Amino acid sequence: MENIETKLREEAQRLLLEKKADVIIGYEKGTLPLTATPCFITRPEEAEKLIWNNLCTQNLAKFVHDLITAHKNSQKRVKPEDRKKKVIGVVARGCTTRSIIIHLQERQYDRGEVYIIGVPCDGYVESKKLRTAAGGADIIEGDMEGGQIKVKTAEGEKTVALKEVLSDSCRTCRYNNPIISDVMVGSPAPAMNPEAEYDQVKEFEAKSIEERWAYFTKEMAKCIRCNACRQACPSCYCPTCFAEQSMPQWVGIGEDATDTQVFQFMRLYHMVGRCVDCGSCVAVCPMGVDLRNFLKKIDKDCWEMFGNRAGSSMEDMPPLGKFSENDKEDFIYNP
Amino acid sequence: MVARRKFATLKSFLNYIGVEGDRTIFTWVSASEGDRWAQVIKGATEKIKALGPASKMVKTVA
Amino acid sequence: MEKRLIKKDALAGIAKKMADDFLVWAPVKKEDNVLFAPLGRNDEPFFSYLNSKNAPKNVFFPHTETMMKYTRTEKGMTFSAEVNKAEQSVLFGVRPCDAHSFVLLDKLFDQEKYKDGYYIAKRKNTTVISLACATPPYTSCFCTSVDGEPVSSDGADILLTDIGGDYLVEFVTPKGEALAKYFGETKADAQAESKKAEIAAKAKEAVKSKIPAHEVKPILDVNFDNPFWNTIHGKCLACGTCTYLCPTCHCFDISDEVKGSDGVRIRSWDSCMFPLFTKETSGHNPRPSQKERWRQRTMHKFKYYVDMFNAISCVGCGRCVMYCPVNIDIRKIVQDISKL
Repeated sequence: MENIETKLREEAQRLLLEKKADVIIGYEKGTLPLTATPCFITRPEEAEKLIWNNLCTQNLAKFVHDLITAHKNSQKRVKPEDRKKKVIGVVARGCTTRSIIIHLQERQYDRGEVYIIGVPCDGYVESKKLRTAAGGADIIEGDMEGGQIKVKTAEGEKTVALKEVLSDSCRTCRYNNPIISDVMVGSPAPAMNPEAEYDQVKEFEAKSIEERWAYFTKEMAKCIRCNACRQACPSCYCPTCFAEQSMPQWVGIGEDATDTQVFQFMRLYHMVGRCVDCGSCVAVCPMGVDLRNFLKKIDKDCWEMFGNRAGSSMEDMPPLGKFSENDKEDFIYNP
Repeated sequence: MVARRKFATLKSFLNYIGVEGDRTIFTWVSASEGDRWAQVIKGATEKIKALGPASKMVKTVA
Repeated sequence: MEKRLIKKDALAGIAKKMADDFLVWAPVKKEDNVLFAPLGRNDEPFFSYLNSKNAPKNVFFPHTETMMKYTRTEKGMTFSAEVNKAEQSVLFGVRPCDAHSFVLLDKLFDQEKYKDGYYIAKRKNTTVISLACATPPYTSCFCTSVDGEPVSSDGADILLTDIGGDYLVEFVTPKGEALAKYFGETKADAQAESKKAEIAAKAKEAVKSKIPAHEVKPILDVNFDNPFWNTIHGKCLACGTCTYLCPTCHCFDISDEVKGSDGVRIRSWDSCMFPLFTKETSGHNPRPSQKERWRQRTMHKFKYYVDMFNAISCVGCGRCVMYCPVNIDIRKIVQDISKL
C-alpha cells in the first residue's frame, strides 16, 4: 500500500499544480487509533496528508455530489458567461466509481466535472467488527501490517486477521477495482468472493414471514433516527427527503416504532438499482442496525428481475427508468 | 410499463421484510373497461377482506 | 453521610431487588450495544461496561415524549395533560460524566425563568446511582478538562466506587440515603475511604486526553466571523449521531400527530446538525450550511452555555469523538480554537 500512497500523493499534487482539479477528496489519518477520515485537499503541498489503506471507509462519491451541488448553487446568480467551472478530484475505489456512475446516469453532473483517481481496493475494516474482535475494550493503539492488525487495549495486546474484520460488503464485493477512472494508481486488486454475495439473503428468504417480520422489527427498533445512514449514502441526495416533508407529512419525526419502520423501509426501497453495496450506511450507523440484509435483497431482485447491477456500467440506464418486454408479470392481478 | 418494475420490486421487498405482499395489488385497467374495473375492485376487496386488518407498519395515534 | 461496603458480586442482585419495587434503569447488553434500559424481570444488568452507547439523558428527556392528548368533541376540544406521571425510579450505575450531565441539564430545564414540568417530574422521582470509573474507560475520555472527574459524586444521589473486592457505597443526598436498606449492613471503615481516595487520584491522573475547554470562551467571544469556521465542517455528513448520543444536547422539536378527531402533541429530539433545524416557514434558513451549524454546536457548548449558566455544556464522555462517522473530533476543534 505504501507504493500506492506515494503514487496517489504525486498524482494529487500534479492535478492541483496543473489545475486539472480544484479540490481533491481523499482520506487522511484519523484522530483515533486505526481510523481514517475524509479530507479535502486544495493546495498541492497538502497532498502529503493523503493515505490509502484498509481503514478508508466512507464512499467519497457522496462528497462529490455535495461539492458539485454547492458549487452549482453558488453560480446560480452569476451570468452564464461568467460562471466558473469546477472540477472535483476524487480518490475512488470500485464502489465509489459505481456511485459516480449512478450520479452520471441520473444526470446529476457531467463526466468532465469529476476527475477520478482510481485506486484498487481489497476491502475496508468495519470499525464495529474491529471493536468486537478486540474484545469490546477500547483500542489504545493499533498497527496494520501484512494482513494482520495489532491492537493494544487495556486488557493487553491482540492480533486480529484483517480478513476477519473486513466489512461484509467488501468480502463479497464484485467490483473492488474502479469501473471508470481518469487515472489509475496501483495495479488491480485480486478478486473478492462475489459468489457468496446473496448467501445471507437466500437464507433469510427461506425463513417464515413471521420470522422475517420479527427480524425486521428487531433491527429497526435499534434505530435512533439520527439519519446517519441517509446522510452517508451517495444515492441519497434529494434536496428534501420525504421524511422531512411536512405537506403532507409522510412519516412522523419521533421514535415511534412504526415511524422508524416506515422511514427505513422507504429509504431502503428507494435504493432499487441505486445501492452499490459500499456499506457506508452500515459503517456509520451508531446503533449497528443490519441494513445490508435488506439492501442486498433489493440488489438481488434487481439482478434477477432486470439483469441490472447498480452502477456497474456507463452504458446502462437506471433499471426503474426503463422496461423490457420480458419483465416479470406474474404478480399482476387479474380477476 | 415502468410502474410494472416498481411494483414487482415493491411487492417482493414487502414480502421480504415480513409484510404480506398480497396486500399490494397491481393491475392495468383502461378508462373504457368499466366492467373490468368493477371486477378488479370486487376481487381486490375480497382478497383484502380475507387477509383481515393490517397490523404491520400501521401507526396508532394516541 | 453514611458509607457502607458491599461485595462486588452483590451489585446485580441489588439492582434486581430494587427492580421489584421501582422502575430501574440499568446498563443492559443488547447485541453489541450497552444501553440504559428499564430492567425487566429476565434482564441481567451489565455493570462491567465501559460506558453505554446512548447517554442516559433519555431517562429524563426521552427521544419522543407525549406532552398532551386532545380530542375534538361536539362541545369543543378536550385536553389531557401528560405531565407529572413519572413513577418512582432508580437510574442504576451511570458513569460520573453522565451524572454530571444531569447537573448541566437541570440548569436549563429547572431554572428561574423556565421550569420544564416533563423533565422535572422525572428528575424528582429518580434516584441517580453513579458507578465511578476506577480506570477511565476510553483513551478519548476527557472529563477532567470539563469540570468532571472519573470518581465523582457530582449529580449523583449514591456513588459506588470499586475498591478491589468491594464497592464503597456513599450516600450523597437524603434521596440516596432513603435507599440505604438495599445496601446491606456493613459500615465502611477509614481504610476503605482512604483506598477510595487513592483510586480517585489515580483515575484522575489516568485521564490523558486534555482540552483547553476553559480557555476558549474569551476566544469564542470575539471570533464569530473567524475564517477558522470554514475549516471544520467539510466532511460533516449532517447526521445527528453526535447530538443524539451526547449527554448534554437537549434541543427538541414539537409536533402534532392527528388521526380523526384525536391528536397528540409530542416533543422529540432535534439536532442542530440537521439542515431542517433552523429552516423557517418562508424557506429562509439562517444557518444555511454545515459551517454555521458547527459553529453553533461549538459555541453552544463552550460559550453560550457559559454565558447563560456559567458552565461548559460538555462532560467529556467522548461519545461524539468515538462515534462520529467521519471523525470530526471536538477535542481537536477546541484545541485549534485555543490557538486562534
